[in-house]
Amino acid sequence: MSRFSKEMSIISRAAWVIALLAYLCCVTLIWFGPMRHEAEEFSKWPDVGKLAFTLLIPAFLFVYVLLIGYVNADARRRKMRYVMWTLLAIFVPNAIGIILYFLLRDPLPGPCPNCGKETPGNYTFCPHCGTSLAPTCPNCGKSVGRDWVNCAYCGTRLKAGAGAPAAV
Amino acid sequence: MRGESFFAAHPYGLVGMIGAAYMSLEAPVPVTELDREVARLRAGDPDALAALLSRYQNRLFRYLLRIVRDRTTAEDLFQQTWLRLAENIRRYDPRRNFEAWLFSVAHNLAIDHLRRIKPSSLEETSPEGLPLHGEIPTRGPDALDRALEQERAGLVIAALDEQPALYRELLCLRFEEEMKLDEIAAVLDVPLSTVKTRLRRGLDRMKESLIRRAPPQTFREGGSRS
Amino acid sequence: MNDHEQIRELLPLAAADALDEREQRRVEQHLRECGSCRSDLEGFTRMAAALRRIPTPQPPALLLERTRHAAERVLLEQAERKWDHRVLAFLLLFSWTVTLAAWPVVKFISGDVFEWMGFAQSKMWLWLAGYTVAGWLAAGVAAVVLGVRQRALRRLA
Repeated sequence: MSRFSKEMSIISRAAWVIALLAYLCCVTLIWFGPMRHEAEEFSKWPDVGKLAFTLLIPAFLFVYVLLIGYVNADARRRKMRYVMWTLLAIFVPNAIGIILYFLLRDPLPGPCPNCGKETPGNYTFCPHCGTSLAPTCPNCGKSVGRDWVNCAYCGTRLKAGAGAPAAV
Repeated sequence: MRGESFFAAHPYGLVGMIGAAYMSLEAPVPVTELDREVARLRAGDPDALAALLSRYQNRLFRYLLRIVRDRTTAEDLFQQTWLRLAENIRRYDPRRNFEAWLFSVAHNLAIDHLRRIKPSSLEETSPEGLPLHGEIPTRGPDALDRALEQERAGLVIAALDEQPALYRELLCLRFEEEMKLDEIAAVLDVPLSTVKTRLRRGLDRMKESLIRRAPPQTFREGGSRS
Repeated sequence: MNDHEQIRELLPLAAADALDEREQRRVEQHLRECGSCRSDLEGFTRMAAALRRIPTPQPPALLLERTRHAAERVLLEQAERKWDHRVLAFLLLFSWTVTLAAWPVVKFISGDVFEWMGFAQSKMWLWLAGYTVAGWLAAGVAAVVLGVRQRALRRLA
């Protein structure tokens, strides 16, 4: 999936390093801990099982750190409060902070079709040149759905083609 | 992802992936250039959309203009048609005729528009002051020929514009688009017999309109035809 | 004649090439005998030809640009949504796995690591219990935040 690699590429190198370190730390801890000391639970396991366990469990930590790195980089490029979101991602347990982030994130900033300046994705009008970026009601100015026949707020009938942002 | 339900998305994702796999098994192998473009559009390729747009731009615009007779409205409907197409491309069954689908989307939008602004303009109502059917004023036997000779003066276009919307669009689909009758039936979502009846009535009415507009019989051009 | 009337009805369709084989044969047979129908058909045929020759109006270039951009945005939005669903599915799986696997994994590890690190057994379970409760609380808070945002969104737009 090239989309996947595109998204992955925004994760900062620092995040990769931390993830790797955390992984190695965890592997070491497990290996020299319960595995080495032959805790009773592990003694019945085949060697392959023990190795798999040692390598697999810390992988979750690796993925977790990478996800936090992604949240950090993504919030930054979407012009959101990335410090707050990074902290939420780290400290809210069970990756719920990360899930919250994905559900609540703003759309990507894109160029205004008229003046070309980058604007955050959820703006209705360009702050530089005033072109409408999303369909709006000609009467009350609120955002309307693309195939609405009447404005849901003021009731004005929308003409055909109100369903697309007008060029100035 | 705004407002997605916290727990509902997980099974949706799984079902969506299975559904997509199933649909890709069912699709026919692309044969023509058009098939390839449609297949790419179904996959979400914006370049395929641009290709299809340039392929059909003139024809679709002409069709919409015939129905609504107003350039501004035709432009708006043109844009809406393509937006509707992009939104519903996932629900498009690849075994269906793409052209028929494209024109039927345009047809629905145009008819809805006409219904909104003037519901009576669609069907049998004749333009004010003109006889509905059956009374052909006597203009001489050559009236139709004289009218057709005046093509450059736009008599044919004027006569076409005078017909009710349903006839206009049918004549456009048959003679300007040169669609087969079953394709037209698919576009208009009516049975084949209705298409034939409407086509016959439309041509009869065109003939009457042309005869009415025929220049009076003053002199014969040299080399007259019979 | 009844037949003559019927054929006259079929003439416009004949000019439009809209007859099936049976009808076509009937018309051709009648035309061999009937001169007035022949000239009628010729009139219709010329009319059909004129209809085919009507000049095609051109759409303005600006319209094409606008339409292309708007439709492309729709496609991109759809791709975004599909991607978002996949990511969410993965995250849910991840989150549940972490939640459910935490207890058995800790049970496996606890035996030794924490002895080695000097933790008392009972205290460790307490920590884990606290972590689980915090997890469920976080889920509750997340649901509330989402609900509030949904309502706010609906009111504004």
